[in-house]
Amino acid sequence: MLLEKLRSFISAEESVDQTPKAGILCPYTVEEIVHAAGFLPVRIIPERLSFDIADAYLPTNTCSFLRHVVEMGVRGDLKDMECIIVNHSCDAARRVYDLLTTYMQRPRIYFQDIPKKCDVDSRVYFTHILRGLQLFLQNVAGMEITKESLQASIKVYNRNRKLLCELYSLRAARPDILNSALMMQVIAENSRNPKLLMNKVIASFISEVKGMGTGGETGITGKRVYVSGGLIDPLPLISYIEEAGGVVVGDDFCFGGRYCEIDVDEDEAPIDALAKRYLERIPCGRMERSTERFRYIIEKMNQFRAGGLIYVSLKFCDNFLVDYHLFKKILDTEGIPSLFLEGEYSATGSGQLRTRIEGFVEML
Amino acid sequence: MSLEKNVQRMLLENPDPAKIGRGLIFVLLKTLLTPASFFRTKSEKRLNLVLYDYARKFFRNPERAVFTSLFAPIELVHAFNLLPFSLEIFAAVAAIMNLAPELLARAEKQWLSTDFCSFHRVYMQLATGGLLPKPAFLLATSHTCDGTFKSFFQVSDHLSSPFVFLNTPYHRDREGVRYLARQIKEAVKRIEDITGSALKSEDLEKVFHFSNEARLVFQDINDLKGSGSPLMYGEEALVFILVFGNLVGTRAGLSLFEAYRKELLSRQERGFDRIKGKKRILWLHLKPFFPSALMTYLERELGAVVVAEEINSVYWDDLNIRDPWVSLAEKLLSNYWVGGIEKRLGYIRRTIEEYHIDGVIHFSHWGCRQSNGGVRLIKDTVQEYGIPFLNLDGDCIDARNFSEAQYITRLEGFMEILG
Repeated sequence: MLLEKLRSFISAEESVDQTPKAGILCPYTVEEIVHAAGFLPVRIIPERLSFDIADAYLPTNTCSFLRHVVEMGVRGDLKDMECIIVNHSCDAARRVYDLLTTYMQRPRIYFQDIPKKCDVDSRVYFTHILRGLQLFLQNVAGMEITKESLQASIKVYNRNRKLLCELYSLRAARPDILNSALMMQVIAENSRNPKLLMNKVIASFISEVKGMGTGGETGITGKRVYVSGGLIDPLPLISYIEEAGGVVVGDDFCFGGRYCEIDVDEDEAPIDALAKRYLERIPCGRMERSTERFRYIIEKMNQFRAGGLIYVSLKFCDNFLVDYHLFKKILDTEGIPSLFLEGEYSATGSGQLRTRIEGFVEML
Repeated sequence: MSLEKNVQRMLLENPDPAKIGRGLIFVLLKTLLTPASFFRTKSEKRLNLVLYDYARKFFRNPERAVFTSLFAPIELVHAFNLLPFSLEIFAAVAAIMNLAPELLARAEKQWLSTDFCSFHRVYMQLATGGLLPKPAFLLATSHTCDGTFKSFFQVSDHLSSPFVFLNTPYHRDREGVRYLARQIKEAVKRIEDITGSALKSEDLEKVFHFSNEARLVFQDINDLKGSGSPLMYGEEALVFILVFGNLVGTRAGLSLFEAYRKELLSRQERGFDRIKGKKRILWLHLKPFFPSALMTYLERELGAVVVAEEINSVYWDDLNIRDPWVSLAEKLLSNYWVGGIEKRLGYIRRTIEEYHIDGVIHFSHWGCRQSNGGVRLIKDTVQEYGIPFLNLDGDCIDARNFSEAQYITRLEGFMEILG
């Protein structure tokens, strides 16, 4: 019922959107600059599970997400976008950029480097990178990105992050009303629709959920689970957990829990403030500060009273794979049960996965 | 039980850094007494002895030992009179000694995915399993791959040893160079804090001098073996990485290269022709380090000779003592594996043209996303020249899935195409 409400909110607000689209792959893309250039930043989500073309361009031990992106790019599925921004997310992303610039007819592509550190020197370097992104987008858009337009975009995105955080808190408090599968639908809608529209939609949605919850945490019988992971399609996984009797009370997915933490300082010079926020946000596996992410997850687990952690990594994603080696030791020391899952971009239809999740939830 | 098995048992059952030193003696014996030693040169023997001596110092002086990543600016470490040793090279040594399968099995039990590069998995086990001395600190860059800095961080965390990390930017523009140069300057301060000694400019100058001289000599070596009649096998040249990884910036490193150059010049003067008439191969990326006849078969049986190896290319300019941090940053950012693939493709084009290459082989080490991800672009580049390209999927360290016969069949097919 809530899902229908969500969709009705979106269709009520949605006009026929003619905003030109800019494809993004990673939440380290500074969307505020893309937005200020008059583009709609749209997360590229692979829709089919075949590699008819990609296998001729990338080795099969590259993550399925990036292979999908190459498949879509070379096939021409991305040609209607005005531009694409590929980030320095990992080693394979560098090669994906090389391949797309060579074998994809259009659109234009920008490679956004990201320092792995977040000290002052790294921030200075990152502002230089962001100015490069600004110039690229100005060039594509044929218009100047002014300080005022950047400030306006920052406000829109800050509002969006605040609303998402509120929704996350609501989800953790009332998983009986707002389950995680539904939460993931909100996240998915948020990553492909204009943020101005989504801000209205999420605000209405929050009011709706709050209106439904009057009697405390009634009806929750499932085991409270936190899910951590990289760039995956989380919906099937979340559904499996909930079908197995688990309740997902939090996540740190790229476009989920980690996406909405930390605002951009609205009083600082926009590019400097953006550089600061994006480097200081809760780090993903590609950053130097792995232990900070682990601490964040454990804090969130305590806050949301999660009894166990499901850690999911894309196959061949070095950054997330190797992190678990260290994280597991910390989790064991803290006495936190965990389940490690390694899989493809979409976990749809995996019997083995279901069995392992069922076993873990039962153990909790 | 064979000597080899005995050494393996000794090392794995009683992890003791001093015993790894003894293990290195075993590796050297094995290298020196190999049946193919008819072609073993004085320089190669000298290389083994110098490396052995260096490794012995490393094991006996842990307070001066520094774990470094391949291509890290080891000149800085030598300038502090410390002993850098590349962890990737230790992983290769473990593969040569047949220790890798056991270490990889241990890694798998500790939640290290088999999809992660075996170099990293093996050296993490060596360093955290008590098989290497606890170093004064670790120094790594991010420019070859993500796995390096991630695994160094974990080793540092496990050993409670300081980690000096240089984040290599993607771009080699002015801002990228400045960013890296500032980090190098900070790294020097950090090393000063760790060691309690200040960097002396005359020491750095001396190290830069040796490094620059070695660079020139090494370029001569590349030209000697690449431009005319083949003077040595590529399999032998692939061991130069041991010098680049540990000894660049030292007198010993320079003298080793000088010995090789002298020997190659002498061969050239006396009309050395034992490898004449072979098909000339450019070898990209690394090779299997565990015992295998792959390259020997290619070069001794199939009529090919590797005249150029990507890993041995001289890609950087002279280091400038008047602007040392910028100069080191420029060196790091010149590496073909940093940033986009265009630098690497440029090297391939130049080498094909200058060294009259007949065919190109890329060894795709499992888990090396940055290198393997470029194979399609490399193949298309090589084909512009109308010469064949062979990609060999394999693993430099993990022999468990290695099927020599399959590789040999592929090499034979490739040689048939070469004609």
